[in-house]
Amino acid sequence: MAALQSLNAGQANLSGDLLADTVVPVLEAGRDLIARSGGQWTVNMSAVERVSSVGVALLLDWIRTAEKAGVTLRIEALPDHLRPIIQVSDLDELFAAFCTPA
Amino acid sequence: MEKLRIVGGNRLQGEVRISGAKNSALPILAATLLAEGVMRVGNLPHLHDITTMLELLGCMGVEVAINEDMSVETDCRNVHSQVAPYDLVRTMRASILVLGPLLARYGVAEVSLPGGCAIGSRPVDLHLRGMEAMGATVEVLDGYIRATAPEGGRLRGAHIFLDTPTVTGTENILMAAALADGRTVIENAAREPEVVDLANCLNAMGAQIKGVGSDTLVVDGVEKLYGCEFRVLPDRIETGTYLVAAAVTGGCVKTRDTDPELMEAVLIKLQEAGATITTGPDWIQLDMTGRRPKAVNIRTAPHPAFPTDMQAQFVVLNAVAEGVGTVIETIFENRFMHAPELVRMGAEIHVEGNTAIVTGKPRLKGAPVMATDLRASASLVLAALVADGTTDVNRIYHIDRGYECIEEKFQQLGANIRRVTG
Repeated sequence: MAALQSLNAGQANLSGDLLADTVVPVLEAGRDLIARSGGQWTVNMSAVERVSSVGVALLLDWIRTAEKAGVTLRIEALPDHLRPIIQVSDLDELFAAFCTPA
Repeated sequence: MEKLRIVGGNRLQGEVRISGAKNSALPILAATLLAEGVMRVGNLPHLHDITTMLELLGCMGVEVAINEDMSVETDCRNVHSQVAPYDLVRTMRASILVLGPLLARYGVAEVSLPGGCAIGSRPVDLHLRGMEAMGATVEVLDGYIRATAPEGGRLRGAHIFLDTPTVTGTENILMAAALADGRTVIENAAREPEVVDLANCLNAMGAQIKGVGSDTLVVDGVEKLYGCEFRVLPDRIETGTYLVAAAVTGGCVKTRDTDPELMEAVLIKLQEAGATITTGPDWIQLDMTGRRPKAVNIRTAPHPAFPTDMQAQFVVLNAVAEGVGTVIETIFENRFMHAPELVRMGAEIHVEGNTAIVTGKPRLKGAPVMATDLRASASLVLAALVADGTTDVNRIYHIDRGYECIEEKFQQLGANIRRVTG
C-alpha cells in the first residue's frame, strides 16, 4: 500500500511501499497535485518503506510531469535503500538535481 | 577517458565479497522469457551487460522491476515483440541467448547478428544448426537472424551433436529444447558451471533436463515453464582473479560468497605455486605468507580443466614467480594480447604460437599500459599491484564489463588503486 498526502498546494508526503501493485493510485494523485501546485512542488519520502525500481519509475514520471508543466520539483528524504537502484539505473546525476541533500 | 592508476607494492590482506557470475546471469535472464508468471533472479552483478540484457527484455515488452535487494523480477505477460535490435545486440554479443527462448515460446525470433560476426566462422553457426535440427527455419537477412518454428509453432526434439562444446550454443539449444515437443539429446555439450546453473534454473522452472554437468544433456520438452526464484552462482573467474592478486603480492585474502567446488583446477595450480588454500562452504582463503610464488605450467581446456579466462592472470603469476612457467592456450587464438603490455612492465615472456614461456622476476616496473580485452586488462591490474612505481591502465571499459567495483574491492584489500579521468 502506498499513499500520497497533500499538506498544502506545494507539499506532499509519500508513504508506504513503492511496488508494482501499489504505485498506480499515487502516480495519478501526484500528477494532479503537480498540475495544481502553482509552480513549486516538494514530495517528502521519509515514510516510504519497501521499494523497487517501480519507485524510481514513479519519481521519473513526476519529474517529467513537472517539467512539462513548468513546475519546480524537489524530492526530500530520498530513502537510502532506493539509492542503489538509482545508481544501477545510471540515474544518480539526474536525481541529484532534484533531491534535497539529507 | 577513465583509467585505473595503481601504485604497486602493497601486500593484499582482508576479505572481499564475490559477485554473481555474469556468464550465468545473462542466460538465466534470457531464460525468463520462457516463464509463465513472475520470475525472480538474485545475486546479479551490477555490470553494464546485465543492464543491457534488462533493456533488451524491456524492449520486447517484458515487465522488469529491480528490488531493493537488487534481485530482478520479470513478467512476460505483455511481451509484444520478438526482435533483438542491432543497437542493443552490437553492445553485447550475449544477446544471441534470446534466440532459443523466443523461438521456443513464441515460435518466432529476429535477432541481429553481432557486429563483426560472420556466419560460418563463429560459434553462432552452431546455435543456428541446433535450431534447424529442432525443425526451425532459419535465414540470415539484412544482418538479422530470422528464425521460425515449424507448423504448429512448436520446436521438435532432436539429436544434436555439437562440433565444439560451445557454452552459449549449449545454453541456447537447452532453452529451446526445454519447451520443444519430445526429447532432445545434446551431445558434446559444454560442462561449464554456468551451463549447469542455467540447467538447474530451467529445472526449477519445471523443465525436465537430465545429465546436468555431463557432456550429454537429455531434455524432455514440457508444454509450459513457470516463474521461480533463482540465485545465480558466484563468479569463479572474479574469485580466481582476487586469489591470484593475493598470491602475486605475497598476501592473504579471503573471498566470500563464492564456491570452492567451481574452482578445483585453479586452486590446485595456486597450491602448486606455493599458496596455502583453506576453504569453507562459501569461502576460499589464500595465504602466501609473504613468499614469492613458484612458477606453474598451465594448459587451458574446457571445464573441468583450467579455464581460459584465468590464463592471463596466471601469466602474471609466472612473471613474478621463482622459475619458468609454460602457459598453453588451447581455446582461443590470439589470446596473449596482454603479453606485450606485460613485457613493457619488465616481464620476460616469450610467445610462440599458442604457448607463452614466462621467466619470473622478483619485481615488475610501473608503466602506462593499455587493456585489450577483459581478462587481459585484469592481468594488467594484477601486474601493476606488484610493480614498482605507478601504472596507468588505460581502456578500462573492458575491465568494467566483467568486474563489479574492481577498484573499491582492491582498495578494501589494501591496494593503492584509484579511478582517474583523462
